[in-house]
Amino acid sequence: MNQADLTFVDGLIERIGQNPDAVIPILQAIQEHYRYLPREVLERVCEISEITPARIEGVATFYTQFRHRPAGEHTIRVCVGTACHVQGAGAVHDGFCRHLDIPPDDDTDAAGVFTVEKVACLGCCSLAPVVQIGDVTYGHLSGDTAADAVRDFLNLQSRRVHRKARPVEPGAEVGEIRISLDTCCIARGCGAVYEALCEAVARSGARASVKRVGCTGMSYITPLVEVVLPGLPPSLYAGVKPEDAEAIVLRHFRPGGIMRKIKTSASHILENILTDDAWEPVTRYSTDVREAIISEFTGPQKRIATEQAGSADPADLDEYISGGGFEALRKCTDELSPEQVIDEITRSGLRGRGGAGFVTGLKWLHVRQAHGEKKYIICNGDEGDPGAFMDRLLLESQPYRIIEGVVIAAYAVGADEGIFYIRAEYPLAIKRMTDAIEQCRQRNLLGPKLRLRIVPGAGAFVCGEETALIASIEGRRGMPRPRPPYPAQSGLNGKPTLVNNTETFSMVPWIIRNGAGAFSDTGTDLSKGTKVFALAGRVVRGGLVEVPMGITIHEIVEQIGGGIIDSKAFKAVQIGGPSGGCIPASLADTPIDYESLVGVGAFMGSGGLVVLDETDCMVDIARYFLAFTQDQSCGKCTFCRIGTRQMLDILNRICSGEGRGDDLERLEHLAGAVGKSSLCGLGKSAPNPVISTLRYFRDEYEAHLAGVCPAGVCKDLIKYVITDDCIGCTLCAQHCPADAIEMKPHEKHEIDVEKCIRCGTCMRVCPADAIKVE
Amino acid sequence: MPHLMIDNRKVEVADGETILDAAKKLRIEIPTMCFLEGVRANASCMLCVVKVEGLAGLVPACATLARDGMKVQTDTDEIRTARTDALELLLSDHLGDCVATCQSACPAGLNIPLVLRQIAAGQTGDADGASEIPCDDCPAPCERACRRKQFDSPVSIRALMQYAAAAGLVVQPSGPDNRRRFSVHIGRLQEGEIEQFLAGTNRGGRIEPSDDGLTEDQARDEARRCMHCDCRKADACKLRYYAELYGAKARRYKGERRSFVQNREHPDVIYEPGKCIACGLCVRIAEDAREELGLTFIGRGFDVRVTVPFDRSIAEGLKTTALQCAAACPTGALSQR
Repeated sequence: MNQADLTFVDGLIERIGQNPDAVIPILQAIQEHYRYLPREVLERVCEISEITPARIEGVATFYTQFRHRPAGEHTIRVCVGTACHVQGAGAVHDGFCRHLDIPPDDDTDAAGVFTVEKVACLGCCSLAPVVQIGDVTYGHLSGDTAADAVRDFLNLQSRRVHRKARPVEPGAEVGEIRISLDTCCIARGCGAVYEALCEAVARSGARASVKRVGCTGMSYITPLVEVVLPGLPPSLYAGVKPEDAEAIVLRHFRPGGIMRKIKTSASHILENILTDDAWEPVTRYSTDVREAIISEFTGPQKRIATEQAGSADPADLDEYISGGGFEALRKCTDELSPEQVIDEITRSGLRGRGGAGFVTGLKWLHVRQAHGEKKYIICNGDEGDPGAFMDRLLLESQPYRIIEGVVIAAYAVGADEGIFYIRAEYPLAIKRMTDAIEQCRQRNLLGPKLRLRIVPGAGAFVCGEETALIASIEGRRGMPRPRPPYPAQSGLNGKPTLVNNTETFSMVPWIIRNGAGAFSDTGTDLSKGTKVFALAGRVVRGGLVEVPMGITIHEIVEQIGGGIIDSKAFKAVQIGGPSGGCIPASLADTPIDYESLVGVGAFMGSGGLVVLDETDCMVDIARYFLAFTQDQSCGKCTFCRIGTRQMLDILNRICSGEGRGDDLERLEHLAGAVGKSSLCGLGKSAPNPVISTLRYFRDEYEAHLAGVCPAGVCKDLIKYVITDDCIGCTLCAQHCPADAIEMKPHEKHEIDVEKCIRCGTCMRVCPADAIKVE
Repeated sequence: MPHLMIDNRKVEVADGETILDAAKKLRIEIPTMCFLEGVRANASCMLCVVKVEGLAGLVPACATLARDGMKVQTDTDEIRTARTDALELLLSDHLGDCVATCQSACPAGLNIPLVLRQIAAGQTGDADGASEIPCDDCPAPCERACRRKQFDSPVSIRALMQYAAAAGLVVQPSGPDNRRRFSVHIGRLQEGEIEQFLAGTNRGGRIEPSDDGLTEDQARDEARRCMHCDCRKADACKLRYYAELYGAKARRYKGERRSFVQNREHPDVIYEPGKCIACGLCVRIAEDAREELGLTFIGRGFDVRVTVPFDRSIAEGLKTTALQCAAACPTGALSQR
């Protein structure tokens, strides 16, 4: 390590501080600079700060975000979220490693160009299986197309040009072109479409403003562009490509200035586009918001938490205020005492949206009543479930609204310091929140005393648990501790602390503005209001949905989700991610509320909702979630540390056809023990996916014990065979990455079972549908 | 001042005291491993779980604050099962021999490794008090069981026992009959593991005794060939004690077997990470004593380990608290040499 390198650290400590609390931000800055955590640099940190070697090593090895060996120039992030998992993320990951010749115990290719990482969820479930290379997103990949993605990325790198969008002159607009720009939309190319729209407007002189808005919820058809003209119904375009931008602009707006003169030729161009065979005509993507599909998607929904997402510019404070923003706060501070605010929230029946469903008003009351001058408030945005991206979209789409919720809560409980704990994997959310806090501060919207700041989480699912989250903010390993004492009595730095989920805070301004009664009118007896879900998996339409409590699973899957893709048989929904469970199709009439879900063995969780069909193996699903929780266990208590590992060993055994006679009993016993005696919520709920699948799909477990995977998913229990339908085209042999098929033109091919790695490539490329799974 | 009921008996505790504190007042014994008076509780081993009326599941008594009106049960079937589960899970990831293979094989259960350590250290006893030993006519199954033979040839245990007896060292079984007690065993060594055992031993070949037995020098050299496979905490290990008390089965859960590691860098203590139950007592003791480097947990989940930061040696990590940590360690992971 040379002198210059250590200068960075010295400057960093000077900037961030020597306090042990700062250890996580310090490590994050080091990693950003060096792309990993070099030992010498960490030792230097200990020399010049109050951070001890034990602290820095403990923390640096606890969080997933931190690397201890150099990373490649570009990172390939393979999403292994639930939706991607069921659609073959494992094969995609293997495909990249195979193509880049990365050995199993490594993650970076020999030349140091690419590092392949698995990430919990990129939040683009409708593109599954999805991968990000650098800042480019590739969707619908498979093991064999991984190589194409790498080539395409390298190709793109070599001829990358930065387009600059020209802004429109303000004040001249007659209409608005809206495009949602949150992470998953950007991942699907909305950024390029936005730039193209800006360019098209500037070039044509159209009197339109191009406006970025938050998430519309309709992930399955992004990039989504909405053209709003006064007095006309809005026009919606789905799946827009940058090259369509000009046509859309010209279709709705009269060109101005010089462009007017060439309008005729422009129309000409438009006609060309519409008829050009090489391009899909732009009208093909156009969908009217009132047409069946979209209205079914939006119809049964009710927007409270996501009220303005999709219509407002997330960064525009004036727009938020003119739409009624901060009215609720003003009502609180001008008209209501803190006790009255708490009373209003209590009467609304709002319960924590993080999963456990504790009554929000009661939690607030406990913090209000706790003794102490100093009180904290924490917004939990550490959304780590695979298959959940509600918090991210809320933070990205309506930062001011969440801030308003937090400021109201701070007023109610008497807190003077607020912290937004947001995953570092959500850079856009962090940026928008940072900017929004600054805007609010400048306009004196936070009140005289309240200080707000952001703490980026470093990748640990267990930090969603409030005591672990607090440990993490204090700069320690994210280990939970037993409650009581609850954070309401003794939380951050030993002071009374209110911890609520992002979605919960997002509900608060609506409740204050519309009244507790309006909120509690929606929902069921014990579960009031709405819940935001990330709908994904085998449904036709996936995305963010906000539904009234009490809606049935059936309504979500069939009406909002549009049913199962390819008319396959609906088998189950997985609700609540790693803490939740699988509810079989036979119980699809179950209403979505806290108690009903627990009754059928699931859990509200933070709101992942993955739909499964007949091609999904329930034992594999259970194993998938257990592998996740096992990996995310903090390792503190015996039951979670070793118990979940033992359960995973058994499930691995069952999935590989080596299950033993008493394995199911053992599994059940362990599930009971881990659930009953683990220290925190992560451990206590970890067995849920196993318990619920054992309860409803025991026959599938038994089939595995007998050596059969009924859905044909578990690699060790299936084999691919070529039927007599083979036309001898040799495509399978050409594409097989394992050389398991000998090329025999015009003859029936055969698969060498010994060599076959069961990646499914042959089945995908076969034009004659002649490959079957046995 | 909270009042609570434990096993249907009333007790009053001070604010901030735990269920475990309250139980102690009533002389109700709750088993603990990761808890030590004076060190802040960690709630890791979960052996102290109890049932609190109205709370779902079980909670650790050592770290759960006593609250007014609590009703606690400390010894029901449900609790005993949970404790047995905890012990069996810990045992599935606990690598070592409670009793050395030679001692397990000895018909008299003599504490062979202890005697060999005394010989190697040059200790002598009272020559007049030479003890009677049953070794003279014994076919020495101890030597057949001796692990050293996996490297070269077994230690001349019988000759060393005879030497020790003649030299007046006390040669007797250790405590209660170790062979009948609950024990865990490593079983077959994996490739390369023998090197861990050989560290610090005399790598010379076996010394066969002459008709007059071993000379003092020979005895010392031969005794230094012993690899000390026994656990130094065989009688003080809480995991073993409670496994016995709760009738836990050592092999109920089998897991991926770690590699055996024995760290002898420290002059006072031996560290065997395979025996560590990650209770964190040593980490906290070193931290509280402001050891410059101390110990830390690295990794998380199943792979969590206790090590010295930055891969430094145990000797650098534990400069002042090594013996205190070894005494506090509930298993043989950290033991006095």
